[in-house]
Amino acid sequence: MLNYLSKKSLELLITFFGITLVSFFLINLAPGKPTDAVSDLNPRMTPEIRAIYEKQWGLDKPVHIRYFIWLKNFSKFDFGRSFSSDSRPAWDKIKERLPITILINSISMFFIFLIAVPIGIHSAVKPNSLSDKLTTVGVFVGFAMPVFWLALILQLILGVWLNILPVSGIRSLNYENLSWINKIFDSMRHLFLPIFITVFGSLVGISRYMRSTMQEALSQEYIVTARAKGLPESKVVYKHALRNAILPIITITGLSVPGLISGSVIFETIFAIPGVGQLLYQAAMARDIHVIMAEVVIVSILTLFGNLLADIGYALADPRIRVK
Amino acid sequence: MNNCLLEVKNLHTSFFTDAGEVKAVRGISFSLEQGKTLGLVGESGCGKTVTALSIMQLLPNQAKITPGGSILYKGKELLRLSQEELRKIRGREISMVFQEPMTALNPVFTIGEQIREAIELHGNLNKKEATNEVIKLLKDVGIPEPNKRIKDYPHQLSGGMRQRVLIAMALASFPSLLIADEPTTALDVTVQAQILELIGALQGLKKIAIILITHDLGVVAERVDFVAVMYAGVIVEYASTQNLFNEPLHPYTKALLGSIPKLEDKDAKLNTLKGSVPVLTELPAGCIFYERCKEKSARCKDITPELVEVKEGHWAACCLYEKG
Amino acid sequence: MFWKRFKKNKLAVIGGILVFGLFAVAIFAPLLAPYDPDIINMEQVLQSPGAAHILGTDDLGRDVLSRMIYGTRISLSIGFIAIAIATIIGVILGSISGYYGRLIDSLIMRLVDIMLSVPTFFLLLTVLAIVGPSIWIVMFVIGLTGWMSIARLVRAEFLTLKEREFVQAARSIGASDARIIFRHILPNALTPVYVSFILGVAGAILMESGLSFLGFGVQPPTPSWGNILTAGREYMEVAWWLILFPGIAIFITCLSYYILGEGIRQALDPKLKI
Repeated sequence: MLNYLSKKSLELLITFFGITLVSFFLINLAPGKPTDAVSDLNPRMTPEIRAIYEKQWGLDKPVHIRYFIWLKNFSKFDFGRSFSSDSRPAWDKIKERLPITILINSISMFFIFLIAVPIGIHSAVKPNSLSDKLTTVGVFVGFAMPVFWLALILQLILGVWLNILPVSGIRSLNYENLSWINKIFDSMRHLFLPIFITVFGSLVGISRYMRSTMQEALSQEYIVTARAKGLPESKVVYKHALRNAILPIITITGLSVPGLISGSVIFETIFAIPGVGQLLYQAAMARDIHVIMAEVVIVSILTLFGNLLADIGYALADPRIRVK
Repeated sequence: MNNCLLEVKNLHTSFFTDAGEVKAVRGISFSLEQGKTLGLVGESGCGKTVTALSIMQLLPNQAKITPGGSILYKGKELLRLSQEELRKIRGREISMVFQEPMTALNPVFTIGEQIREAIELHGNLNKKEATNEVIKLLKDVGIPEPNKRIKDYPHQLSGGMRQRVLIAMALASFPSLLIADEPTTALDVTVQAQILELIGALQGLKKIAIILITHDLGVVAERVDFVAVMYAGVIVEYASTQNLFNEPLHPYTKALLGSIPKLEDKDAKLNTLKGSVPVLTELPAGCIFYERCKEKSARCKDITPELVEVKEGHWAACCLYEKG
Repeated sequence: MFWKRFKKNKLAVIGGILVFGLFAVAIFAPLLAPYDPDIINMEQVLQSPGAAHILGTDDLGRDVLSRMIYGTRISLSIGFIAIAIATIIGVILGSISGYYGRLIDSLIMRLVDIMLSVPTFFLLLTVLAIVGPSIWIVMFVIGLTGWMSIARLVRAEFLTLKEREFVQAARSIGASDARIIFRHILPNALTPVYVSFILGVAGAILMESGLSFLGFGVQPPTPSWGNILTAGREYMEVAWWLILFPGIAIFITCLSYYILGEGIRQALDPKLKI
């Protein structure tokens, strides 16, 4: 198992450097310069001032040198300063926004599995039943639905027309004056729609996946063995098949992190949630290159960390890896 | 017929696929007395395994037993039992050993757990007694250091050991009938003999009836009391082992016997059977063996021969022996 | 056999008809659109759906139905071209990876892992922010970030196919690698690619609408379903039709592609996993 995990960790480490390499060169070699954002809008910008800017941001050096400088600084978590007017270090800006994004995605992940796993099991065990057919239809609807549109429609109906949920932000204006129980209630009301939308976005994929791993498990020969020894069907399904079907689901948990975080950009923008997704949107709008690069790297670290957790979970759950 | 343990009459089993109905078993009948052994022999795809799964009623979803047949076990009609009643028959009365010990054991549970499950189902033992029983069973099937091995997972054991585990599992609840479906096909030659010896020894020890399914007449030669030869879903010859080997009646049996190399005459040419089993969706009229038969005559093309008693206790389905 | 099974699947046939219908709408947009999609009419601002404007007008008085009909062109062509790019990259890298194996395979598969570990949207926004959005850039970057699953599928097919007799035979008569890959293996490895292509179109349309919605996709005044929605967002409290109809159009289009793709998958090979 240690062997397996150290191999996985090494793979993740290589992947991580690959990501920094790909994204660094992508950002730095693309046509258009970060200074454009400042200069385009500034009538007093002259080539000389521009050169000063570039020197100040280290843009005058060749790109591979800049990559090594970037790596060196990265080891100190120094991603450079934001190009925006506040000029704060990129890491500081991200750091304060990470918790809310992680919180929303973790809660969403919890609900996704809470709902998707039973749905998947049920439609695998009873193929062609009404609920299986509903699941199939649900999968199509879920895949085809533009989630940001659903978010807007719900915002309009629940927030504007019916006025039962807040449309944006994570706290009401009078949050500070509320009792602690009302504070929790207030947060729940604000987080309901973002979480609902995130869960909706990933639910169908996971339940479909659960359905197919469960079907796969149920078609294995050990299931016939289990039935042949006279085990009740409930044990055959919920012990023998499920225990095997859940293994690939553990891996999928790790792999679903990038999708969830991608979704954060959209729902944080729509619901004005001060997380890393919204920051990426703002940074992209302002071509704030240091913040963008820091975002990509931090989010990739999160993703890889999710993968590592999934690998550990898998290694613990599968005796073929745990016991040699 | 008082001590008749199992009586199969006119059993038809079909698979319903996209390509149409595949009649895998087309009206077979045989019976087996308590404590006796029967060899079910034929090429792969002739319906041996489907026959076994029909008796256990563990057929895959797309396969159905055609109404009209009968499977009597200890005088009880198995085809009319509810799922719950069948479950009590499986393992406790009739149990089964499968072809692929690699896939027939659940990879995520220890072998001790998988055998104990079978024991706990059918007896009133507490966990400790059940564990002792598992160790005893493992010792019976010749697994060394059983008290250590019970904590092993299937992937830690060799193929032969796994097959022994499956046999132990099948014997856990003292069944009266054991169906062994090609129990040695997936194993090394030396291990094959050991497993067959084990099955023979256990049969003598526990006085159980056995149906040994195999594609290899050599395997059944010294180990069973009766042999039924199957071809394309029907039994073409049925006799005591001695009669069958001394005086095979059906051309197919003769061909099968001809393809077993004999040690005594090294120079004899090995007769191999030409052609292949007909496609079961489009069966030709007349004798199904017509295309490959060496003794065919003109009328074989039109007449579908019935299984008739040619000599006492020796049945064959061939135009050579049709009366009239 | 394929047609027989495909025709049995009513839903898939409906999907196919809808997809054809959408192409017709895109091709005949000038004939179908009741108004010029770009004509600004400040006297007809934010009209609710009615006889004159079936789906209402936007904040500049433009006819929403006409803009959506023209938007069909953008959405379909972006969906198609982006996935065509992704498919070409995926097929080439997957073939090389599966055929040559060893170091090349590990390198390409590592690249796949890297691409799958970066949240796609982050990469897209990053590139679009720096290069600046245009229709072509949007197609290109969606293609560049969407080839990984196709590469994996093709690689898996290659791994099994390259051991087959006909490949060994071709090799034994001295056929070049390129010939073996493109003439002998690839045609047999494409079944899962067809299906993932069609499903991918829907994915790319969703991706484009999401990008346009954030302002990084197709830029106004060129109408795309995504940017009609964005423009409508500001006015959604007074003009619900601006966000409702483009969303429905995206939804129905993607749904058609999915049921068509799924129908084709089942007709080609029910066991195929995409």
